[in-house]
Amino acid sequence: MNSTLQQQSQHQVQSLRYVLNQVLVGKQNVVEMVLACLLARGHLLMEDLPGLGKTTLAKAIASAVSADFARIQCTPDLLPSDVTGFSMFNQKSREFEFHRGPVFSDILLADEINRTTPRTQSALFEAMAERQVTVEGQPHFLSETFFVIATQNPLESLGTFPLPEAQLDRFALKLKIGYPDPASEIDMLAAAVGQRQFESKAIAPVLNLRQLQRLQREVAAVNVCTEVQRYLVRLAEYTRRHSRIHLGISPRGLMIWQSLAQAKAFLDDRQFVSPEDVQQMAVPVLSVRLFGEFDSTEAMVADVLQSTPVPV
Amino acid sequence: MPSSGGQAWSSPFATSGVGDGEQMVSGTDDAKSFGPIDSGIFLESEQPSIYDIFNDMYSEPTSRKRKVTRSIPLAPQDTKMNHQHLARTEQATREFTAVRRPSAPKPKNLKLDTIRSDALFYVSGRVPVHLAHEYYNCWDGQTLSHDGMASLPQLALSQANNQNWVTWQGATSSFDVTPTVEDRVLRMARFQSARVPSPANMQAVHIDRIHSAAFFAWTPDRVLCFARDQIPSLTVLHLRSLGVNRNALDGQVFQRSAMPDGLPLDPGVTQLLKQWTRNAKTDWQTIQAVAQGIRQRCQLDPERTIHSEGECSRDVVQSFLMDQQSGQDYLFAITTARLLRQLGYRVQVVSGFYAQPQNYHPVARQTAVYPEDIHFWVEVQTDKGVSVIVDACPGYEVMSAELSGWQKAVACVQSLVGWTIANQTILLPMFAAWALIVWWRQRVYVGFLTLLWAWPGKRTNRTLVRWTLTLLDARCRLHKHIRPQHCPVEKWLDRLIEATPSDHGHELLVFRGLVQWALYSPNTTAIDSHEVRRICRQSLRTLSPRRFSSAPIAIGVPQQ
Repeated sequence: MNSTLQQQSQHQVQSLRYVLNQVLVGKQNVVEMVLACLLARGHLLMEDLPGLGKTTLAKAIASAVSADFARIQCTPDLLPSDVTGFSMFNQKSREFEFHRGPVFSDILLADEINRTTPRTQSALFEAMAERQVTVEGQPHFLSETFFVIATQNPLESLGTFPLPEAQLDRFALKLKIGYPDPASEIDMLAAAVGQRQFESKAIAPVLNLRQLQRLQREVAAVNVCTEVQRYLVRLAEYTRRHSRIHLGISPRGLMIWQSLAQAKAFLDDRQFVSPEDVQQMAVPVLSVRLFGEFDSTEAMVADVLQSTPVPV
Repeated sequence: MPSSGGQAWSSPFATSGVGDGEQMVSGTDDAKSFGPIDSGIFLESEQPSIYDIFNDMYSEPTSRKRKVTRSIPLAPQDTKMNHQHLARTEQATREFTAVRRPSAPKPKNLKLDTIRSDALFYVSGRVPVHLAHEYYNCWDGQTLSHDGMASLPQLALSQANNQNWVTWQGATSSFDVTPTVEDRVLRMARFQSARVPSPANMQAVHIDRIHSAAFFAWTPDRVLCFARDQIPSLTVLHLRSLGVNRNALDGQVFQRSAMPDGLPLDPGVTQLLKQWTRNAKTDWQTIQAVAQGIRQRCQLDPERTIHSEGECSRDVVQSFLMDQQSGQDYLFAITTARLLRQLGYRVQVVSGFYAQPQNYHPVARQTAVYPEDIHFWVEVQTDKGVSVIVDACPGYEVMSAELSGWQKAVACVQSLVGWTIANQTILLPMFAAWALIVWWRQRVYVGFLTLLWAWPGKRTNRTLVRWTLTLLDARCRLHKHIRPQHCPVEKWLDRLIEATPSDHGHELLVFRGLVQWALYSPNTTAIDSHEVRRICRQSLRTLSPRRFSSAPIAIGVPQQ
């Protein structure tokens, strides 16, 4: 990649980063992870309390990249057809017409995904994995930049359908936004003065979908040397043979991890992946995949990383 | 031992009968169809004596020409008997002449159908082993004989493991030279001699049901013999002897002869002897050097004898060593004895049997000894009375004592200590240098890497950056700032840069990028090598471990 194009790409990334940091104040690390997930063409699971900016972030991304945005509020009575779409008989044309569901958007927010039934969850997961849906035997392709941000509330477990481990593997990473620090909250309050309730701040697009796809292709072309790939494999083997980890990382998860490390290197303006990129993406990638007898996911990931030598 | 015979049935593959051949198992009336067992009866046979077997092996000896002098006969009343020749039966031992008639090679076995039944006896125990049958300590230039002056110890009966053992006073066991006691069992088959084939340093013998030492006696040349005309066939003899650790003989003193051999040696032979023993420092090294010299100079040729052309004019040893340089095994033994005697050692030539490992039968777990296994060798004695076999004949091994694991370990330590003491002038400085290198190994490693880094050789930018990183890592290890194995290099560098107060922050950041590039990037974009070297040198100067804070640099794993 020539340097002019590289500079242009980094400029676009910087603009996108700036916009998202304006929306999600004081959460630069979360914004970096979300950007990495978007550029690596993964899907995002956010496990956090209500009111922490999940919807705002999803809308901001959609606005910043000029994308269609859709939202599903997952409830127990939500049907698969409510997600994928359905065919309705048109009395005028005397034909069935396909009405597209929310999955035919560029960015989809599936709010409280664990409240809907496994049947509906499965319909969504097919769309996430295949980037297509099949309705009445007819395949329908989704957007090239289809990006799902699913949320779930970690506290209220009554009347929920927890996502099985196999389905969690479809998500690239799991994030927790967390409460902002006091200074950021003061800034947020100051910015809200003079703004009407529920009036969202208009966000100007910084790049279009075609530019986003080009960035995604550039991320996929970031070099990963053999030593780093071996390091990734050693990490994966360690998770699989660890006596206190019930389910190690799958080959699909390993590939997603590499893609996210590529995206992280790209965000740091590098055309090659280093072990530090792999380590920085370890917690969000592994927390959605590893299940074991540890006090916390962070402790489990720390054990995995500290037990595997880094290539030099 | 089980038997397969007695029922008119035979098999060429039978292996469990005495003689393991057809003849020994086919007869129903012959008691030999039973194998030798401890309780077996003594039998007698009309077989040829063992001395006929010797002559079959080495051909007939030549008869020495008697000197006839002219004399005048006297009348019977004028004669007076003042001396007489000893009758042959009253001679001390038999003789063995080294001068033999040339003869066409004989077929080894006359009876083709009994090839495998010609064994004289069978040996159970470790092989190869030299079993003595006769000793010779006199040599007149052509003939070996014994003077019959050997001291003969008293035989006594003792009990061991509820068995009667005939014992006598011999060499005592010692930890270094004779560390083990070896037991062997001889099962006599066609052995027609009263002499017991004896391993060196034999100490006791046992035959089942014999409860008197009077069954045994000594021959004049100090060979234990059975107090009958011959040892009956099928007799089972248990022999106990001391095993000699031949690796421990270097420090031993060997017995010297009070009366050296009076026969003069050829000057050429004397020259050879000096040449072989030039570098020998101990008795055992001298003896080994002589045996080795003969073994390398001469070849074993069973068909070649030294025979007289009319009259024996030359010494046999001289002919063998200087002219023929090949011959039968007794020539090797006689030559060894002559040369060792010339050096002053007390030597005996021994004739007997060599139980070969090739004849070991794995099923019967015994080794057959055939007439072809007749052999000559030499025995020398240490000052403690331990007999040591010296066999210069090519193809014949002398077995050393089988040491236990503990004895091997002790012997190993002893030899190591001895070697260390002998080479202490070289080893002490080497050990001191090695200890210093081990103690200062990290400093030595850093010094080596620094030299390697500063070496004005041609190298790529990538190599230079990698060496710089390695040197930096080694220097940090030297000062206990060890990079954890899970810590990526760039993060470690970040911590070092944070912990180092410096005005060269830009160079350090560039160096960090160069390290990332050198380690993980395939990009070969041309970078100014002078600039790279300058940045590396500046980084090495700035990131000096002496400038780090004394507190350890904390490096954790990333958290979300």
